[in-house]
Amino acid sequence: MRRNSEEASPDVLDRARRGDGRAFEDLARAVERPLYRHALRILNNPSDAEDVVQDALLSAWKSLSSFEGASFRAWIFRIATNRALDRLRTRKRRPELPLDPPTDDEDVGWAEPAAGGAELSELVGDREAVGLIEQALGLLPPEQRAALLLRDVEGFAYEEIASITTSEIGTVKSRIHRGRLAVRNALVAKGWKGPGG
Amino acid sequence: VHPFAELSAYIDEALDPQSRERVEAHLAACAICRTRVAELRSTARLIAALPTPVPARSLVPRVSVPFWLAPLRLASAVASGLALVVFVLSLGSGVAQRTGAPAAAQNDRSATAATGQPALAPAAPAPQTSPGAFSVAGSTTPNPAERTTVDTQTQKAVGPAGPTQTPASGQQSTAGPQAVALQAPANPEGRQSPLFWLALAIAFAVVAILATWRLRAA
Repeated sequence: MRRNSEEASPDVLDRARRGDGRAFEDLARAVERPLYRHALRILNNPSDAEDVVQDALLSAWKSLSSFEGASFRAWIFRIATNRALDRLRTRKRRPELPLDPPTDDEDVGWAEPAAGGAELSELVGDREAVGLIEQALGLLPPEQRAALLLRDVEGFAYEEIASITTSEIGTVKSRIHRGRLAVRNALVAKGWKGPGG
Repeated sequence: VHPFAELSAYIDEALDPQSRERVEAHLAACAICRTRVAELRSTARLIAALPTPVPARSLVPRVSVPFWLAPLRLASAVASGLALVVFVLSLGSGVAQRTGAPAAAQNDRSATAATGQPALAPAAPAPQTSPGAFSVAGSTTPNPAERTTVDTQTQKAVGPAGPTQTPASGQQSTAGPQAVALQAPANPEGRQSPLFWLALAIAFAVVAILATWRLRAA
């Protein structure tokens, strides 16, 4: 989860906003990896993710003087998330892609855990579980996936996610819940059970 | 009624105080919802603990420029302009001298006339070399003007010569007809070839353009 220290220092941000390229490069280096992991999990393609992050950072540099928000991190995530989702939509129009993922409206039920599985809390670091979680994330509708990642991996608050994804807070709430539930169900379907047993 | 849809927001502390109290009251009495909260919380932790992939290359755009780049651009632009002015002036004075000394190619004074001649005069007399003159191969265009330039810089005056004259044997000509003289020391009378100034103007202009391009890219 995100720590407060990950937010850009006001001094560096101010210098970057006044056109100091080195200050901007410092800001960009601090968010480069989080942006990349976010873009990669949305796009599921390293090369596309790299392009999206690089484009987003360059675009941020060009429009930094107009940035007036409180959080540089939320702002740059907004640019990168939008670009990643746009890239996904462009890709979707290509014929070689398979079936559409389930829509955002699809109802997600609560699968009952099978007996004899490991507890969810024991799975951290389990390679198989990592693969399963990533697979389950990959099957979520892109907007749901983006919202869930912004919350669980990047640690943004619901209000920030609403702003980043240009959505209503109720939509964000619903996307996060459905996405998390779908991942939980994918794990349970493989025999793991929850901490309550 | 179970507040299932509220449970993730409850975990994330994203509920307003009223809803939060309601969910808490329900959880105190409902084992099913307590289990679900625990499982959703575990799922969130698992997602948060996913390994962070590392990009194969740096994704940070190079936007900073060295502090000396802007002054360099200005200085290069000014120097280019000055060199161009000197080129034009020396071109004028060269024409004047050449018309005043048509037979100059026959003796030592030929250097003055030759180095001052217009670049595009293909039937120029071959000039005298300057000690230490050097040429740098820089062009693939074998046009007469350039050949004349080479001659100007590298050959000894042996009498009137056409533009197709080859470098005299025994001279340390480092380039053939495709060479362009970029620099030559002053001839005995302290003059530079007009082409030297032209080359200097072009070189400074190239530096200024490159600096501008780099500054814009940032």
